[in-house]
Amino acid sequence: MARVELLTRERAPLLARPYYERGDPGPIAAALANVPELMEVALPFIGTVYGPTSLPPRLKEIVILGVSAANRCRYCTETHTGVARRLGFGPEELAALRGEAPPPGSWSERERALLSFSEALSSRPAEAVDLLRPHFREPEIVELVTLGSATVMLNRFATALELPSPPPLAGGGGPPGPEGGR
Amino acid sequence: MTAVADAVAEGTIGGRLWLYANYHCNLTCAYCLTESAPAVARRQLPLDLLSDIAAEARAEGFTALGVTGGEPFLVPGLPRALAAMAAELPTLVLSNGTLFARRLLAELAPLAGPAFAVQISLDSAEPRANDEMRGPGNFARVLEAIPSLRALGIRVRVATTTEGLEPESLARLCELHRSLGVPDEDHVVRPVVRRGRAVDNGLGIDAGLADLPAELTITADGAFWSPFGPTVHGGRLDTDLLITRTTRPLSIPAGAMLRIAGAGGARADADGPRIC
Repeated sequence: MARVELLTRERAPLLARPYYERGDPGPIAAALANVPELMEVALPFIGTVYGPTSLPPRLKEIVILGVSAANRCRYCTETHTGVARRLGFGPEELAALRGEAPPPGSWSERERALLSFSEALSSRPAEAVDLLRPHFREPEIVELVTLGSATVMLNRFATALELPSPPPLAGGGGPPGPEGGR
Repeated sequence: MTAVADAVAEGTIGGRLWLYANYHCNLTCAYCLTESAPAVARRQLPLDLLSDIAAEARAEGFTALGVTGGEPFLVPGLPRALAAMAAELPTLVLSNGTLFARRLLAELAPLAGPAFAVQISLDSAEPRANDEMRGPGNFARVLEAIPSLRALGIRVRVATTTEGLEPESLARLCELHRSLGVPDEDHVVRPVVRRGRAVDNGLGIDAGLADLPAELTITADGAFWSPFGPTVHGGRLDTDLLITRTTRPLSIPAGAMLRIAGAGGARADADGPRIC
């Protein structure tokens, strides 16, 4: 049970209502709805960072799941294991992303660097960026750091508020959100 | 012109900014929107905040202020805050009319003038019918309070909240308020809204965003769409008409309200139909 009220559609404040139009917006949105003016800017920001950008979804998911596992965020790790599975990550890859096994031999240097970056971002942030430099251009590094940092924020948010993990593939709609566009 | 002033002039939102001074009350009315009662959490707005917001409201382009609760006059020192507010914008304070003893009247005396009015609830010309909803002895106190305030030169309005008055009952009520010196234009009749304690008592009509007045309302819990918004049911604040938790600077909730009002659904009149 979450440590704050997760607002239902009936109790959704005015600025939050668009996020409920297509069903349950998920626990992050339902918690943020308690402060609608934060929700109004936070969710579009997260949606932009997590949504389609110049980086391939596969690379972005390595960061999201890798950072979440490194931070031991149960909610984000469980949720994004499902997202990664839908993106085509296999069992060995998922185990690597969850910090349970080394990366598969089939992974490229870029992918390995990304996972190392993800594991280091919270504890050794400057060093983490150095891991990216040989493999990514500067705008890509900025985006990856933004993506990883947004994930750290969500990890803390979900863990501190003890958000309940949604069932796999559950949920309705709303604007693209931190749960991988659910 | 500010964006708020434009919206008020166009009728997109109402010109009156409401402030919930508190949530506690010496009465426990059957239809109370906020489940107010003597023992509930006070959730009081600090008095200096009332006057500060009043100044901001004028700068933003609001044209009037309203103070409600709870029973606002349970807040010690309220008359001084009301005087500061009335110096900024015309100020209306809503009251159950039961607390106007000599000392409070003396504190209110300096407020007499066109920028200040008290709106007192009176639901029936029949003492028993009125007190059934509002509590024993309420009718008698109100009939004492209205002339006392008017004797000070303070404008008094009467608000009737009703499930539907028969024409004869309304006529008797109008006769009564006229006899107390309250003219027809200062008698407001409005329906019970099915929120707060009215839900549990099976009273009132359902009202949503489009039915309620678009009048920005500031409380200790945040800013709401309407004075009918920050209701309480089962001891829990209703959030369906919450706009922002941020109340200052006032431009933040005001700006959010204008965005919502721009999307449609606004109704700008707060006082409801005047029937007399």
